[in-house]
Amino acid sequence: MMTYLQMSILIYFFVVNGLYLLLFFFSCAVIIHYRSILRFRGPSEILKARVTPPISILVPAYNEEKGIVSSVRALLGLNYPQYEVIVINDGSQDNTLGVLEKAFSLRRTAHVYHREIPTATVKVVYRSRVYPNLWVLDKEKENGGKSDPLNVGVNFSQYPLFCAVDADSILEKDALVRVVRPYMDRFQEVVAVGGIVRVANGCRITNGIVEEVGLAKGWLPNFQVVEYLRAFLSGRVAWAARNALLVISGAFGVFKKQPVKDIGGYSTETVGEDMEMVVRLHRRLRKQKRSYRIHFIPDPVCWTEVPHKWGILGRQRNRWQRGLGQVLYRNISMFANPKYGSIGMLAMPYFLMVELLSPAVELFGYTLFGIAIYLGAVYWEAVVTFLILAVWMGIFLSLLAVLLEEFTLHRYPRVRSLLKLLFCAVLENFGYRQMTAFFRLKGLYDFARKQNVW
Amino acid sequence: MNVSNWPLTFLTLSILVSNILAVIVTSLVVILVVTKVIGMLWDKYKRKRRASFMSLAVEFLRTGNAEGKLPLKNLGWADAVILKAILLELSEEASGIQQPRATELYEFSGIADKEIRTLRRSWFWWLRAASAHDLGQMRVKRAKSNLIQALSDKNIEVRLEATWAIGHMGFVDTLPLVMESMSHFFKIAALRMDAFIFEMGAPALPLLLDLCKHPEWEIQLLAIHLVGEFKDPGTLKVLLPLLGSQDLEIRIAACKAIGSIGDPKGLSGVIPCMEDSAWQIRAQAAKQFGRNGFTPAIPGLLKCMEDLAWWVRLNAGEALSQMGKRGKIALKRALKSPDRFARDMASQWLDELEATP
Repeated sequence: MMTYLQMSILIYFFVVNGLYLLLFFFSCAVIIHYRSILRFRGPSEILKARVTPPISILVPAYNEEKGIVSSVRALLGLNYPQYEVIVINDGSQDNTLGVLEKAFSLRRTAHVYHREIPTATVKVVYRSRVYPNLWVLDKEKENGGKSDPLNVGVNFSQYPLFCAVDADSILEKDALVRVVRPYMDRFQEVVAVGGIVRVANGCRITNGIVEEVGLAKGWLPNFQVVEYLRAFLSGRVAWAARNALLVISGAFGVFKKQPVKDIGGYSTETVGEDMEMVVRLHRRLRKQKRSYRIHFIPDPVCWTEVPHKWGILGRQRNRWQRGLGQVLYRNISMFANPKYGSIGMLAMPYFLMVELLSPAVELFGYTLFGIAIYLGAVYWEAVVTFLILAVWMGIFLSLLAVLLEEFTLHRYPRVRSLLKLLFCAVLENFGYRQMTAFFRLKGLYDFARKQNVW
Repeated sequence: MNVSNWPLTFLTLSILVSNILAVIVTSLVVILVVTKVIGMLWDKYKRKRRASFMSLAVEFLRTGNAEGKLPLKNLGWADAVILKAILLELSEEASGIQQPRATELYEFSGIADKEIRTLRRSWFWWLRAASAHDLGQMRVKRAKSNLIQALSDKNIEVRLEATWAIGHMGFVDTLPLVMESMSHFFKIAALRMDAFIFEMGAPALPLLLDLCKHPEWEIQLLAIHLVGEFKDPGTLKVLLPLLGSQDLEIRIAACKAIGSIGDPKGLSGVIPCMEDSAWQIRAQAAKQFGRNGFTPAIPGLLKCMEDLAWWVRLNAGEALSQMGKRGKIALKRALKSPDRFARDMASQWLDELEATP
């Protein structure tokens, strides 16, 4: 019995790491292809075109008094032919609205708020006297995290595409021009496009603009740099290429408005509203047998501050894990269901078996091997070899992600940054990974106990 | 695998996998270092050669002296790459007699032949696409047939570059072929075709008008969009009948194109669209009236303010707000409408008008 359990753990380990490798090599091909396309279709052409679809940028803001002005100012300075910025003040307790009013000379309007997706009440609609494309909606607070303010934004937006961003995230000047490219190729088919999110800690930021890319002094944010590279470059790129991308980060994604309205907008009943909506879009469009695409572009960059303390990181990972659990649970009928194609047969099983359950399997594996050594049912040399291989595999995957970034996108110009990243790719396997696995395990436990709080 | 011996088998397997991983990582790091070193050396070499090639090329473009170009014939691969970059750069700025001289130098150096060969034979789409672009940029007219062939390339980027090249050289007769190769990629096609049409000018219009009746829906749509870009009232005789098409997208495209032209005769033909069964058409018509400040549409727009579709009401209100004094009066009249939605929308747009300096 013990032997078979141990073998199952080993098979799981090899299958999971094999999948990681497969995804990585697939991503490499996609990113190289993408870089080649950019040679011929740069952002300037899209910027000048008259057919470029206008975009509404939605910025939910809750107690963002400190950074909201510089964030909005940066958004107003983006390179894009036609767009509007809609800030949704989600019942902030601080002076978020006041600082916006002062900085952008807001005025109350008689604008009619059209509630196609059910949301909380919008008390006042403000518009800037200085920037006619800036709107601020003051809404009542309702539980449900960012979903309700985002739905308000979707209802209010006037353009066919909307881009959901976090109030504390920073978009690069050309981010929209680059992320809209799939819509330029096949507007009818594309329903959503995600962009890469990178770690802003350590970068030199002035007035909401990243002026110099760098790494933070502390180790924790830099481990997350490697982790983000691994997740975005070797995970999402590959899934998107199979049209099986299940997550578009809430920090940066561009959606076509009508399909989102058709599915009733963001769900207020989950903490992983970004993933939930993407899965629901897949579900609906596959059910309708529609030809559609959900893309991921590795190039357009959104910079975000990541937790620099273990406690905050723990809460964040806990929330992500609970969100993942909720989404998979709500859509369990898609699991291994051939009706949903690559989503049902590949992505859902992967997210369930690997992303959701891996911390539990990992813990189970450690316990099992401990018991086996105690009972003398296994050679301790074999267990040590296995642990070394596990760590080595982790290092290998992280190094590959960093090298892929360096070969293709090359966003860290300094040699010192590259060396530091390579070092982090090794070091993160000794402590950081185990800690995040623990946070995720706790998230899984909370999900099982149905703790649905932000 | 014998279950009882699994730890030993596993041990062997683990060591094997570890070794493979180590070899891969080491190779990648070596490749990274080698690439960086080669890049640095190449930059150094390029800087050195570029200076001498640039002076020769600039001199030839200025004087046309046949002897000046002799050192640039049949260069090796690296030097040809450097010269090509220089010629592409110079051709962008060249005007008058300098442009054909740049093409002459491109042909003389043998780069044009290599590019045509690459366009025809290369296995790699990015090389074919680059060749198509460069041949267009350098206006190598003898490459026309190769570029036309490239329009049916299986890779969209090659087709896009070939389209651009053909447009850049002004081969109007190729328009139907170009449209057929691009039609499935509407927005990016429209983007490229805008540039294409801009390069070709008025001679392309008769062909485009024919394509407005093309049996293939996507080609028709693209053609209507491009006809609108000409802003020629003479095209209304083709565009107006399209407002009666059975296809919603065609009706929308025709409505937009007529709005782009902005001729009152054409806009009068759009007035019935405010009673179209599809809300998208009603909303689009309202938008075009507002864009052109077309006051004869005011009665229809007032009716649209009571429309069941919110977008129609919104566009109608906005259109009235763009029509100056008469529009404002109409909005004030809508304030007294028995319809609550019309009153709300009117007050919204009147408020906007008040706030706009």
